[in-house]
Amino acid sequence: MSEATVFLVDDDSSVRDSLGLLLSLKGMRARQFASAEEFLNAYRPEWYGCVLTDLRMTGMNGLEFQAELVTRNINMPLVMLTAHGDVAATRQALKQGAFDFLEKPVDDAMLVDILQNAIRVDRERRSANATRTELSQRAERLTPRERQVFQLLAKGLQNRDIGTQLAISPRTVEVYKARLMEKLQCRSVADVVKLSLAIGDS
Amino acid sequence: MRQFGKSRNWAGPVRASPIFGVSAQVIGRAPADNGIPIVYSESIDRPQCTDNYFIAVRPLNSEIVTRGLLYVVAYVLLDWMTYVQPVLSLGITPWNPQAGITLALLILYGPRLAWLTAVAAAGAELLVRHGETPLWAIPLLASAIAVFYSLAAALLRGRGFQDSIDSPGKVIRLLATGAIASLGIGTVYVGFFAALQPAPHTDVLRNVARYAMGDLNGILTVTPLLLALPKWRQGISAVRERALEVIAQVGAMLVSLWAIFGLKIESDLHFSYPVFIPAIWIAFRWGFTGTILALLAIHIAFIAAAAVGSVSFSFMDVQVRLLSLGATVMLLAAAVTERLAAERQLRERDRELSRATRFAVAGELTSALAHELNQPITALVSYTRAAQILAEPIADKDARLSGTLEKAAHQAIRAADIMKKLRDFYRSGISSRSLLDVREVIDAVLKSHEERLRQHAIRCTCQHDAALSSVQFDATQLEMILHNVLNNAIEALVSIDNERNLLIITRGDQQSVFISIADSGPGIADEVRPELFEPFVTTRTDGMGLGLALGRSLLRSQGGDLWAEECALGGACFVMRIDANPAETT
Repeated sequence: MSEATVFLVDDDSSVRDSLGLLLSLKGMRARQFASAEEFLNAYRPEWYGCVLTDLRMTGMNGLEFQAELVTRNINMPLVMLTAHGDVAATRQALKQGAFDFLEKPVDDAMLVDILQNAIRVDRERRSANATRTELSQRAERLTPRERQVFQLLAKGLQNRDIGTQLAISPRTVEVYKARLMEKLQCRSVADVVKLSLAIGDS
Repeated sequence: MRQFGKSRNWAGPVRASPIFGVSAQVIGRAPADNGIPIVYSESIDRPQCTDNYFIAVRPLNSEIVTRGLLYVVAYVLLDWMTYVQPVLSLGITPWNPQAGITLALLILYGPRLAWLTAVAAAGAELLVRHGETPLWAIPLLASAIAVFYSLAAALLRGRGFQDSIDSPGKVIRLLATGAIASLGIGTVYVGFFAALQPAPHTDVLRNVARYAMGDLNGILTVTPLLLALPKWRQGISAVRERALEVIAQVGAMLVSLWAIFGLKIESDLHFSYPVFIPAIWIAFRWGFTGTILALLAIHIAFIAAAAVGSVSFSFMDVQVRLLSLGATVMLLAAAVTERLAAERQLRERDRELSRATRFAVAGELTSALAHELNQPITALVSYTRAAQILAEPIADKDARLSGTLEKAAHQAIRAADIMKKLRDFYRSGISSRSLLDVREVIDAVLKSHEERLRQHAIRCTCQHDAALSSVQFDATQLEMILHNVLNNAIEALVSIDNERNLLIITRGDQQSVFISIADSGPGIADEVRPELFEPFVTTRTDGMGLGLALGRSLLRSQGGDLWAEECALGGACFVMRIDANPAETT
């Protein structure tokens, strides 16, 4: 599933069906689950988009589901469907990091607005993640020696100082540097520093 | 939120009165910032500040001046009228109503008016028994009377005697205090004359007893009557409501008095007991105040009969009879009054509780209904919105289509709004918080189940945390929740044949107060356990299954909770948590 999807979790089939229909007509892709457990069993890591779940459900309720997602490191934004007056539960959901909540019956314009925002946030998060993963993969190709030079370079040290620290000649440092910059696809030392910051490796 | 200490004393400025020299106190100002209302009271000696009121002492005013004068005149007049069968030409008569008015006056206005008593007593000596008491002794005897009654009044003041005499305890206190004061005065009075004209030992003792009983009889009837006088309107309307009964009772009293004094079956008072019958009847039906009126009438009849000389009887005989009749009937009447008040209070609490229960049940029903209906309404709105999108391509075929769909969606949303409003109404309107000691609430609830606990031989143990802090909660709601949980426990216990134990434990910490109610019943059935707190789930045939659901939602809405725990007694155990410092609004 490579498209952004709204993962709709509600134990009431007519609510599920109607919201699913409405979302598809608004041009959004939706997938329905009758319970939190059903979603968790079916979950694939490549899924992205957002979760739209009811608060009151038989079995695992909305809050428990939300907590379970956090434990399983499923970071999709979560939008909670609440009933009027569920103030305490709503507050709790937001405290646990819910993206937003929607009161039933749902206003369609607001529904689409919030879900699109949530999906955008997830997409940004994923692309940032993807970049980081790609850069880390590049860094992983370095040899241990190249990695040492990379780390010191990222700290802003000169060739001579790097050589002194690693007990090698500045010329050798120069060779490592050229090799690692090629592997990391960096054109300048500044790029090396930027990359180091992006992958958080120092 | 204003915070006041528990009825701390606040002494206001005291200024000498222009009229009476000593005791009028100028009303002090309550500390300006707290803005609590000021009420005036004649029943306290110094200003006080309670949680809700600043109580100021009512200053002496013209009303008291008139009443004081009236008192002096009445004292002398009554002394003269009841100067029947005096013993040894002293002021010893079978019946001294002036003692009664004296005590009433001093209870109402405090011992600060004691000097009026001295004036009145001296006046009576001069005018009624002129010349019989040496002039120099009059101030002495008069001040003795004033001192003893002031002491008695001081003992009785501030114990609610001004408001009503509504318990046998108060009657006994009045009798005991009156007896001691009148014995004191009698001793001084009779002792003084015995010193002047030596008399046999036994005569002195008898005269002391006579004097004391005369005063006590007066106190018994006149003091309570005068204290109840401010409520005369209530009395008249009560009499009007039950006029037939009053006529019958007055008739019965007249018949019994006629039997005693008119028939003259015996020449003395041996035949005086019929008067007990109407007196007890009245006590049963009217409580204290009505009985006092009847008692006064009986006393007057006896004294009148003695004055006219229609029946010859001994001095002590009539006193003892009147005293025993008075004490018996008054105790009975006070017990009746107390019981009537307790019954009324119980009825009121029951009514309050059932009102709150009805309201809470309606709230719970609405809430459940709102949740159930909200699902189809949500689907309805979403389907309609979807239909609007689907209808877009064919909208130009009939312009009414999109408008109709819009209206349909609007109506569905309106239905949801109605449910919301209804829910909000029941949520907001029910609680009025006050500071509660949960131990007191538990005791009150247990008391109302006392009869059932005893009937089913259930042993109930309470373990209270001594350092339990108060909680902010609606008293009636808390009572209702406790009632429901306790009721379940008792129902469970009644169903078993083994030992029936109930254990209530309170404990608390900084944030919360916990109440656990455990029973040794069969415990919670496994099939209901998962949905124990859902509405309409019950194992009883006569229940609605709302008790626990209600309790939980009421407690949760105010930051607390209700849950079931493992039970040390083997049955069910429910624990309530009440937030000790709930947020002002949620």
